[in-house]
Amino acid sequence: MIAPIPPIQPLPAPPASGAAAAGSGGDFSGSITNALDQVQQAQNTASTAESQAATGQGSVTDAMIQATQASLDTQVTVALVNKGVAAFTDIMNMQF
Amino acid sequence: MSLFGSLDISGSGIDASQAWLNTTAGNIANMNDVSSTSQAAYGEQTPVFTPVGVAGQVGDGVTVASIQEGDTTGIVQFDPTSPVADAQGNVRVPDVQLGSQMVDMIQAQFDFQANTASFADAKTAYQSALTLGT
Repeated sequence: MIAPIPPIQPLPAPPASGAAAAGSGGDFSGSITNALDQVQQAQNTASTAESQAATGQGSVTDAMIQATQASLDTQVTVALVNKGVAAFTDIMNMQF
Repeated sequence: MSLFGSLDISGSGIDASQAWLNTTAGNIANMNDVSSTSQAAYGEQTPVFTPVGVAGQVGDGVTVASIQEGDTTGIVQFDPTSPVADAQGNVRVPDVQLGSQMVDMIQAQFDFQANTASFADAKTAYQSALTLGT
């Protein structure tokens, strides 16, 4: 006797690549926006320290350190943005 | 610790050496104080530096734990023309040696310079890290 044909099993669900990518680190614009917010915060701290140093309420060294940190924060963020935009441009210029 | 931790650490060292410069300047400024023999003399001030952070881990720099006050006995000198001289004509002056204070000040100055040099080197290192891959 011929064995009955088993019913077709449903295909396994594809891995949710988009959701996993979003959960692992968020999209590019979101992370850059967060980084820019933190740069803005560092620059606000630096300007507060500078005005305190100018009015004699804080030390000049503290103001210089805060300003250097804000400057480095900005440089890091700009470098990352440039790298991301360069990657995007490379993909946009892809020839088929 | 923030993204650029070594900058904060160098900053704490700069603050500590500035405190050392300040105590030294105060000692030199009060070197010629005169007090009566019934009162204490000016005590030489010395900052006490302690590390910040948990032992066995990368620390957060240095802090001035306290300002130690030296011997207030001072030196009893004979100066009958002083308005605070006692019946025997004696006054009390601080036991602060200008030579050792100047040496302390040079040490504090070099401490300051070493911390600023370490700060500048850390900044250069962070900036050169940004040029990776270009």
